[in-house]
Amino acid sequence: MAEMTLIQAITDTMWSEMERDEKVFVLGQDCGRYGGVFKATAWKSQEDGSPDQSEKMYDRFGPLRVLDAPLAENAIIGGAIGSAIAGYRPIAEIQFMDFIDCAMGHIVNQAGVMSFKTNGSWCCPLTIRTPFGGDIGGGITHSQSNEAWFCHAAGLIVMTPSTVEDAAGLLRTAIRCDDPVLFIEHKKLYRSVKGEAPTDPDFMVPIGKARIHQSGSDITFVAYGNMLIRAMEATRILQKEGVSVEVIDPRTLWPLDLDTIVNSVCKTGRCVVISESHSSYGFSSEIAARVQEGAFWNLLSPIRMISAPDTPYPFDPAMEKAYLPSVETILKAAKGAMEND
Amino acid sequence: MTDPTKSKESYALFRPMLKTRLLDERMRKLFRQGRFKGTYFSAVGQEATNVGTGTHMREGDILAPSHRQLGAMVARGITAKRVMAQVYSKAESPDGAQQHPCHFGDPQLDIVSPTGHVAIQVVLAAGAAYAYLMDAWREGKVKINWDKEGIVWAGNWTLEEGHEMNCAFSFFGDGATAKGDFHESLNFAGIHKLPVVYVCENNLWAESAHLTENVPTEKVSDRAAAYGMPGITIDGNDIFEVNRVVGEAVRRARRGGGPTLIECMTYRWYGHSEIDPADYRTEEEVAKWKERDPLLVFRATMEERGEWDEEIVAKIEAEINEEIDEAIDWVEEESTDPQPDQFLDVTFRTSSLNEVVRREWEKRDG
Ligand SMILES: Cc1ncc(C[n+]2csc(CCOP(=O)(O)OP(=O)(O)O)c2C)c(N)n1
Ligand SMILES: [Mg+2]
Repeated sequence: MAEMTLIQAITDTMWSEMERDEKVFVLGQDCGRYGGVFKATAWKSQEDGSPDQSEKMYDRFGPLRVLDAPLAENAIIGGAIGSAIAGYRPIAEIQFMDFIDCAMGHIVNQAGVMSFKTNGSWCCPLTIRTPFGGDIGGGITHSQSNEAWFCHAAGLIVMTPSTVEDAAGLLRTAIRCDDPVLFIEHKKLYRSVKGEAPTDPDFMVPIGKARIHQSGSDITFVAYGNMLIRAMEATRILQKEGVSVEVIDPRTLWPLDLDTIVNSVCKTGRCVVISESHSSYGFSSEIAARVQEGAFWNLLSPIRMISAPDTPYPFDPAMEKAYLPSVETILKAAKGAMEND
Repeated sequence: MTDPTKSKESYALFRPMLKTRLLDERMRKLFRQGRFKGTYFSAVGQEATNVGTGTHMREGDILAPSHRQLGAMVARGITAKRVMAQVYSKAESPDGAQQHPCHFGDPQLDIVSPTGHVAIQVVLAAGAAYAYLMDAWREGKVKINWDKEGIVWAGNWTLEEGHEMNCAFSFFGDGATAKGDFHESLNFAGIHKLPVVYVCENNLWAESAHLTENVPTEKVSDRAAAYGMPGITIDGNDIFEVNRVVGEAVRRARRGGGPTLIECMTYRWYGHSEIDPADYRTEEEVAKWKERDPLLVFRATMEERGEWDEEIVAKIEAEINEEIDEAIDWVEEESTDPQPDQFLDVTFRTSSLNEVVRREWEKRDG
């Protein structure tokens, strides 16, 4: 099986689900003729894993099923929800997660409550794909990580893949799921993460199941997206120093696979949570709070929360570097945790 | 197609209109007597717009209501029992008592249960209409007409002669037109010529805000031009006019002619909800509109035609009152209360996710 990029696995999965079920369709700004600004809705892979540029998704499935939507996030998400209640399985793309606030009402108070407000009679099989995260020089409104907003809302599943295999397996699960899924994709990982994609056309990763990215015994790291990549870099350095790190990628942010995380911390006694979103009321605070509840008596040192400052996202490269948690930040926290024995 | 110029079919319009009125007045009373909780949004005065539109719905057509669509739902076939179960928050209500009593919908009748967000449902209607277009396209009934460079097609398609699509029905008030959702929905539907009918109930007020505080143009229908669709303002209290104009729009939509914005001039007789004394309006204005009572307008037309029949009317009224009385007896004596923990089991279709929520709750209170 050929190696491919994470974004290619995303395209391939949409492609295969569209082949399988004609009720699956894609809509978003520039998604059709242009193939999306990141080319996520452009070409499926060929044998060597690279994109087969002879045919676009738009040409294969037609302009109605790969819809070039107007520049209107409410129309994209609200329209997708309307099509979902009329029997379709829309995959809506929000070009950058920073723009998702425009459609907040539809996501939180329409998609998230559809099943509830009909007492389970109707559901909302909607997938919203959106690129999140920084480290690409995107500035205030092309770098945000707003996933906590949606984890805090009711009725939404939130997922994010950090490996090629998970990109395929999670996205397939999202598309086939009868409930609304917010599927966030770290744009830094789109082409930097490569791997073998599963060949099984029904390969799925279950909702709410974390993955132990690497096993270890001294300390637990919890991270996803670009912070998982940095956590792994820190892990390699620590490993050389004789510290054994267990790295957990939650994969689903809501619902959380707490068991896997808590079990790990019970084993290691130490935990560092790394996230590039704002520190207050965010991923790190959530994990820290829940881990202390589940692993309190096994903790050897306080849980470290690493996140971004509660400021807007800066553009200037030096400022961006200072803004994001770095490998050094993680190492410092890990060492602190190790010394607090 | 109904022909309301025929006496029998005129009464088929009259019956749901009278049923809406009687049901509505009765629910106001029940609320004031404290027999159900929450509040109540009366639509008395707006029956002709609702019923004149609702009677055009077919199975599979989605109705995306606002908060005053009792009449459209009655026309679509909702029973007095289901309505009573809804306002009394009973397990038998269309939403199983999950929602506020006055956010009516009915999944069984393809009626979206509205959230309390004004205008948000307007967008769903366009999305459902896009689904209907895809349905027709998948059946091979839609021909896409590319522009001469072969690049774009948006809104440029033709439906096979004789084929009819489902149509989405969108209701909203004058106030709702100030929201971005209104714009994005009509814009989207206009671009793609979607089969949707937009019915604006212009009752001159949005809670205490006057029409001129929400709408900058002389008419709401003036906006249609901006969305590339026909717009028309009509007497929303004349059921014959509403039924005819909406009927034409629905036919056009089903046959691939695109959306229409229909502004129905009407008036709510009472407060925004039962807790609103509506003291921001003059008594003269209310009195003037009561003279244009949709039921009286109907009667005047029928009398003109020599077809007003007291006997038929009395019979219809008696039948409706019987249905309502029965529904009230049933809801107060026999209906079931929802389980207090029922809300934990319906947030997701995927049952394992409801268990996640339930476990949290049980950890807290179990
Ligand atoms: C997004 C949102 N903003 C405000 C409200 C509060 N609200 C409920 S109904 C209403 C007025 C609606 O007026 P209109 O659209 O004209 O409908 P009408 O009540 O006259 O039928 C307001 C302000 C709301 N429910 N949702
Ligand atoms: Mg109004």
